[in-house]
Amino acid sequence: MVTIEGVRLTARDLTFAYRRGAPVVLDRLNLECEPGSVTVLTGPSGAGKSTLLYLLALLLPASQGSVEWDGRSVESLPDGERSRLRAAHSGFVFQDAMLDPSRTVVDNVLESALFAGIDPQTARQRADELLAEFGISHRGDHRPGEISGGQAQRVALCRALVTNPDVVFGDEPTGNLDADSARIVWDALIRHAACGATVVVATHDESLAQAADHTIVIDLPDDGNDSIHGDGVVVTNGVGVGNGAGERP
Amino acid sequence: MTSPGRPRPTALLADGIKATRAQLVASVAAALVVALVCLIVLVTAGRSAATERQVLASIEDAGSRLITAIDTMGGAGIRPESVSAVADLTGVAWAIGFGPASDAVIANAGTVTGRAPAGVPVRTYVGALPVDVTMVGGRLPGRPGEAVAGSGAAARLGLHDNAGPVTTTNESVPVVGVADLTGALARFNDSVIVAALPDDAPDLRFIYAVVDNVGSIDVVATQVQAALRADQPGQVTIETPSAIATLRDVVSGQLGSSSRQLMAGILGVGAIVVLITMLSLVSAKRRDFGRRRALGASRSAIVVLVLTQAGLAALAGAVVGMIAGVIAVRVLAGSLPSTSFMAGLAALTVLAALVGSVPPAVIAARRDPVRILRIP
Repeated sequence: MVTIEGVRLTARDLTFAYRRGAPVVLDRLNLECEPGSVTVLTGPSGAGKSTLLYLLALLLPASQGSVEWDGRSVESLPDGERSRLRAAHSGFVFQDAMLDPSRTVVDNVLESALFAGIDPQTARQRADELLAEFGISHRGDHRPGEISGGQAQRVALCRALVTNPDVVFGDEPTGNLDADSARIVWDALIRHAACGATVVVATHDESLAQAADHTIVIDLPDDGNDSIHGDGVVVTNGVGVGNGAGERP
Repeated sequence: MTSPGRPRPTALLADGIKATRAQLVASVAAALVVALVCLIVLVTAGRSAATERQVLASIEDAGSRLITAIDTMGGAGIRPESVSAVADLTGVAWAIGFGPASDAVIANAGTVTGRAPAGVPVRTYVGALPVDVTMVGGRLPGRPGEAVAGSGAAARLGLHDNAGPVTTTNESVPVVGVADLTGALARFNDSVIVAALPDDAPDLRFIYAVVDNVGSIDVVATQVQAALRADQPGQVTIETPSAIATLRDVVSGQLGSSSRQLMAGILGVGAIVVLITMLSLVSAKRRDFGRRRALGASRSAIVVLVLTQAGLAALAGAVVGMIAGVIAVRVLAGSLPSTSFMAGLAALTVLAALVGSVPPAVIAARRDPVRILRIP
């Protein structure tokens, strides 16, 4: 089994609105995601699950507060440095696979390795291993339009894992999949966490929440504004507030 | 697996090549635009440049590069060493001097049959004959004292063998060849010219100097006057084809200016069309750029990828366009513009395509990945 160091993700008083004067989506959120664990962000549509994911993945700048990777505040880093951190340490699984239809399956898998700067031969070897592991090595030379939705999402998973990332973000990674395909994806994420990686997934899927190490429920407030609910927001599999916990002061 | 988090330049270039092939329609469209720009520039400005080149060549062939120093009265005493002094001047390609004409020359009676001997002038020359002189027969003089007859003189003398002795009043001169004396030497085509003996060269009546560049003719003419070794320099007249040089400058300036304006206009339009083509590509591929940003592509990496794709397409288009343009100009004008013009055009066209691709590349790089990712 490959050993991965993982990244401790920390949010401190994290507040976000999409623009000045717009409703606050996240309000002074505090949470921590430990290496080697799977954290699920769940809640109704529009509650801010994906927004929180993008903030942790350094795709969005916080309005206030900070995001830390291994204790280092990365919130105010310039765009180039944030891109480098994403490329070097993270993998991303999107809801609809987001493959490049003009490239082959193998080229799609290698896309992450390109930006991570990994040696092309090493990356190709790892890509072949992953495609074999997920049972789609025979599709390597096919275009995304020639494979099924479940296979496409497995390709997206290979792309996220080809760099052996320290942290994997998933935005509804099983949202468009049947139960069997969803199980394959979910098992892969759990295995990656077992190697030491930090896995954070935003999802509606209750069954995934049950299988996660930690669950953070982001709820709509009673007044209809999109923000983290004040009461009972954080559920850590019924154990209480701890790793993967978020709370609102 | 260690990840520096920065793409390797070679890998980025390889990915740009893959993108160029994968997005074939957009790449071909950009290449076609560049090819058309090359073709249009070549058949317009290029054809004009080819014509200009022809006109200038014919002007220069007419002797616009020739400086003549003449001792009109015959008393200036231009010494033979003046020729080497003039030939050594910077900007002088070639120089030769001629002495006074001897008395009537009579063909050797033994070589003439069936006609009366005729007289032609004979002159001694100092310096080297031009290497591109056209020989009718025989050879050029290889040693002092040997002579070559102009084709007009040979006809008058009846030198059917293109060689033979001719005699002046006081000596016999071996003619070793017959040549068509043209250009600067045209006035001697009816003469026999003899390579001067080193220690017995006469004072000269004419010195001809051909300059490298017609634009420098006035400057070199002044230097020629100063370089002459003569007893009475004031009696030497310097003649230059200044009017032809001026005409050349006018022709060059007008044709060149209109060609440049035309080319700049077409290149500008081409850059705009490439810009629009690449904008449409960037717009069509916005989800790809958003995904790549999410996967860790920096803005500069996105710019490099878009410019690589545009550059490769432009290169291919420039090659195709130049080949088509060269064929078209060859058919239409019968000649080609200079190699430097064509190389410059190809480079400028690719550069214009790259410049036109910068705004789309920057737009692609600055798009908000989250906004793109959240739109299905």
